[in-house]
Amino acid sequence: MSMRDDRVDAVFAALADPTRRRLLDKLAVQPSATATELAAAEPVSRQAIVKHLRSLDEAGLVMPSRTGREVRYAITPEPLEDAVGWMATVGAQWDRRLARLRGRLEAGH
Amino acid sequence: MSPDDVKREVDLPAEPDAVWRSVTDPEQLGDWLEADVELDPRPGGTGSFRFADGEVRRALVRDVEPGRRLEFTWWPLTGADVGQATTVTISIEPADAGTHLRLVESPRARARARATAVA
Repeated sequence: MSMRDDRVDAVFAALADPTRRRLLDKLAVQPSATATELAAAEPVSRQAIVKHLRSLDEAGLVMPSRTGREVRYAITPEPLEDAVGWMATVGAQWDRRLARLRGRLEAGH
Repeated sequence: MSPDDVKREVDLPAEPDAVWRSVTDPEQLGDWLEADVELDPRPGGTGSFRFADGEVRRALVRDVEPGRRLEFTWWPLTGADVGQATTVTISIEPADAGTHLRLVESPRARARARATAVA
């Protein structure tokens, strides 16, 4: 596991907002998009979208790239996989431990 | 409760007192964790866990409701996640056929420590 928990905190803080989750959903089905393109279908201003994209960038969830005057955003899935990987690993450990606890108690220890 | 918590709930075929001992007695806890355990199960008490795979963890007991709830923060001294603290809360309550145990491991130890300091 390579995850750092401050990074996971940043990822989940970024995902706590419904607008940011929608932006990620959109970026998941296209190679990249600009803030203007992403703002077109949202009920908030382009400036608000830019701010949300900055939060996602700080959490490492999107990657901006500049072409001329245009900034395009693409999704970077690794941080989310890190967090999900931590949950899977730790969850499996507790499943095994709790199964052993049950076994002990069933045997009357 | 946050979305990144690991949560498990199990019904166990034993009285709550027996389950509580399994959770707080270092030798019994070590049996099902498969670790050499030292633990002082009182608020502020410390612990150490030496797992069969070589991982070593230190622990600090944050809160105890005797017979009901144990909460500790632990962090590995070895491996890729060295120093990355998580908080484990084990709650037990009587159930029809024995005891219901609820376990939460949360990676938000730091956030919670800050919240506790402010409160």
